[in-house]
Amino acid sequence: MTLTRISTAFSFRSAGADLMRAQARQVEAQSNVSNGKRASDLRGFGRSSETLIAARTVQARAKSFVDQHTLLASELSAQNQALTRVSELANQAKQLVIGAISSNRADTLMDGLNSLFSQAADTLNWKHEGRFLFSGSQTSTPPVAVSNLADLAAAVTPDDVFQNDAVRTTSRLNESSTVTTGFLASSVASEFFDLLKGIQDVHAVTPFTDELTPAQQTFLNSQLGPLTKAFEGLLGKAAENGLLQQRVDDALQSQSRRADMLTSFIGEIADVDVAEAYTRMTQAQLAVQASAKALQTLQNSTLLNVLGNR
Amino acid sequence: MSLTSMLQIATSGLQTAQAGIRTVSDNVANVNTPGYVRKVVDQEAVVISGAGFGVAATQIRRVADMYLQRATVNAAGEVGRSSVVAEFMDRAQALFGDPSEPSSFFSRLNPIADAFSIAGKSATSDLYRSSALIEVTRLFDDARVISSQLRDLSQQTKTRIDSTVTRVNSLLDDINKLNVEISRAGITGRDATGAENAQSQMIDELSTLIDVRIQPGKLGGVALAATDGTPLTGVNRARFLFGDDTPDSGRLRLQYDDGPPVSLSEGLVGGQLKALFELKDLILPALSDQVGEFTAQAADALNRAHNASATAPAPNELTGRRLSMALPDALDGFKGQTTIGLTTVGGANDGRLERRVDINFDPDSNPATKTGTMTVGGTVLTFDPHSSTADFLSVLNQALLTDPTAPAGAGNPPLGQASFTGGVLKITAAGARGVTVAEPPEPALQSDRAGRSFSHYFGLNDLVRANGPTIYDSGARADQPHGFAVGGELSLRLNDGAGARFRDITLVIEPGDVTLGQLRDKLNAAAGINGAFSIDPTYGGLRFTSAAQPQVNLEIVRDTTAHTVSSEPLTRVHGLGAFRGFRADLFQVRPDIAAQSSKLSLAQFEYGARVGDRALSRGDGRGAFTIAKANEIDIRFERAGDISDTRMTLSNYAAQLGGVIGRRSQQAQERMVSAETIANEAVSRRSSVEGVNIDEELIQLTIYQQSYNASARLIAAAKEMFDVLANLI
Repeated sequence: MTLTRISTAFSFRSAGADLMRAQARQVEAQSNVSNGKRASDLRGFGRSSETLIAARTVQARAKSFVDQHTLLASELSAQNQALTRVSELANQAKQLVIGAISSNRADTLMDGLNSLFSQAADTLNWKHEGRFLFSGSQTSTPPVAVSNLADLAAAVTPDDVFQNDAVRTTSRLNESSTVTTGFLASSVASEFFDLLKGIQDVHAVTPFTDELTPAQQTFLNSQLGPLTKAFEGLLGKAAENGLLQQRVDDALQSQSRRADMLTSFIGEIADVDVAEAYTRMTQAQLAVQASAKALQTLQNSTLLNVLGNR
Repeated sequence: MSLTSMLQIATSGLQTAQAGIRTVSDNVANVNTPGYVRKVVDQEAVVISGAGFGVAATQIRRVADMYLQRATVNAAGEVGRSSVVAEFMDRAQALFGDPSEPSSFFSRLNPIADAFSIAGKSATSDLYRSSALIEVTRLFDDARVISSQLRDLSQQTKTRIDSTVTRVNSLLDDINKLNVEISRAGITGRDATGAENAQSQMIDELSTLIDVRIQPGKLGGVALAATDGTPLTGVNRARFLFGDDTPDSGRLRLQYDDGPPVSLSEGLVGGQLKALFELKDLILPALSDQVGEFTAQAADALNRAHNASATAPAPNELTGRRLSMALPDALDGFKGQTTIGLTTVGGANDGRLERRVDINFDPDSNPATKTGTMTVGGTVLTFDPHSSTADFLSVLNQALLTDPTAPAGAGNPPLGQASFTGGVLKITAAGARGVTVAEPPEPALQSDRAGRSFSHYFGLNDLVRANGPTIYDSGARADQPHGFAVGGELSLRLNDGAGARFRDITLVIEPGDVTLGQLRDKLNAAAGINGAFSIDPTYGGLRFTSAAQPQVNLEIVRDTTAHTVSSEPLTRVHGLGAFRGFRADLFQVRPDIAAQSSKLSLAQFEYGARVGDRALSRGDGRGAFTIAKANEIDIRFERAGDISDTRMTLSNYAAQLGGVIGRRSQQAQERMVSAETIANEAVSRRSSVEGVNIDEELIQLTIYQQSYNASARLIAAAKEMFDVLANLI
């Protein structure tokens, strides 16, 4: 623009406008530096708003998965303890039977089995965060309704023993896969409990008191195989739970990595490069000073100063 | 040369210098007056009979440049327009919050998903259920606040148009008055620069408000015209009209002293007024529409998931949302199967199935036959929604009798009952029983009309309830009855955002209009080439689509139509015009769920359960996971503003909508900045010619001062010479 003459008011006004622009830039850079963010509204983020909101959603989801997996991991860990303990109890039952067979005496057999059963029933009735672990969706009902062998033997249907339903807890590992993480008392322990019930039934007819009769010997011997199988079955459940723990741990890690990755991704969009913002602030400060100086120069460069002193 | 003529010449010098000094002082005094055009004194030597006879100030002239003025006026119009759009867009976008923070409106869906995931883990926990409800409430509360503030902004555009029109009229009035004064001064040769300057300032102001064309007036002053050439100044005074009590009040009209109001044949092009009309007619309605669509689809997605889940224990009664359809019309078009289950509530048998009614809407896979079956145990009952004897309700009530094969009576009491009143379907269980509606697990077998299951379509187990129709893809087909009472009248207006006349459409429901298709055809005949009304073959409902150029917006002037079932007017039932945007206001968590969080459907009905089996468990949280996933499922969005028909997840739509608003407001801001730069350049050019330079004025002052002094010296010299002569006598 080539101007042959200048309007005084306009030159002051444009110098003033320059100063204000510089001040506005300074304020913006200052707020960038102080809150560390590029902008604080949709207009400020403009075209990147869409990416930002989408990333926030995925991040929120990943964080939610992390929270859920953390809870799930503690639940699975409780399940692991319970399942390992029940399988251990099944093993002890087997050892008791082997002991009885080898010593040919059954003085402590029934007391021992009764105690093992009570412990197993008690373990299956464990609660985690106020909910019964093994009762399916009947979370406020203890899954095992009997606590001693006599009651177990008296039960007519499996429903009299187990009060859990058939709904196994499922959990989402990520957007696309779901795993069944719940175990039901009936499917975990029915085999083991059936064997104990069988022994109790025999005990009711020919009590296991001292020396074993040959029939009792034969019977107990026949129970060893199934007891081993029940023990292995329980061990299998514990192993299944262990695999689930592994999967949940993996998912937990991958979701938290995802959340971290998204945090840094969001940071790249939303967070200001502090060094750059600081430089901008310094430049803006300089610009403010320069504009002010320009105004001062403008004020002094007038004929008034010359003519006025005549 | 006589001493007298010497005195006269010196006097003319004095007077001219005085005129000059007066001009300079006026210029200096106005150095800071915006729009002030500096004045100069044109002076010339007076010659009488060939001899010089002093000096005369022939005229005081404004150094105005009409071309530069036009350039600034045009640029000011663009600044006026873009700055108002930017201001309103900025205020609108701020309503949605910071997109980088979790508290932003578009991130509101995330905590809902999170809260339901947690609630699903402990389905019996009141605490988790309540916090899930709080998150849902918060989403719809936010939507309501945003929507009402958007409407507030829209209202402000009207108020601003009003005050702008008043200002434009008063400026036009004053400019006209000054025209008279200027031409009078021109004829009598008086100095009119003061009036001209005042007028030029008014034109500058006027040009930021409205786009005008400027021509020099024949007798001095200016002639102003609207963009379409309609004169705005002259003997016949013109005034703009807006917001009076006439049906035309929503548009800008021009009234001359001697005639009725006329619409502008072409609309406004620039200026704040154009921006305000654009905002009122296009930008803000589009934004409201988008927020309405997002909110309505969010509610629908939550309702879809909630209807697919079940409450444990089942509620005694399921009450649907209000449909604007007769029951046979609503059922006509359903396919697939649905199941109504009655379960025991409380006691040892809590959740056990007592009655199971399997409904099949098209057992022979032929929708044309319109007959369906209801199976209870081994009994199969058939229904035809269009028959008065075997209609859906009476057959369903039969199926809910203790003995579905025997007639109702004292010995055969009902286990449950269904009714349909005023568009609301209700299914009630008798005694300590609850009702659940469930769908088969295989998607292909599920009941479906226009993409909704039976329970979802009737809204039997909604989580969010709207106070009015919000779902426009009702499946209503062109061949189905429209359902509106005869005599109702609908008056619509197509606006193009320029304040000018576009087209008015009037529809009167006549006895001959039976089907929705007939209404569509009548509306289309009235709309002409500006847009088209259509009925989607799959999703149904009446839509309006604007022609591509110019984009028009549908405004509802009057609607006295009423649906015979729901009493709702046509524009609300089919979502025409601003009602689409109002949807964001209407939602709230269903009051009975809000009051009692145990009514949340966090469980799932065991579809395979037979009578006597357990179908519902209180600790079951599978339904909650379905609700948590609601924002990850692809759903259908209708066109809203500049987002076209699309299928995507709710979360993606939220992101897209945020992006659109962000982009729009950033563009508005950028456009304002570039308009200001251009205007600044134009103003700088103009002011370099027209503006006052103090130094220049000081130099002029010095010259005039010296010329004054010299003329005075001449008078003194003449006096001395007179004195010498007088002393000689």
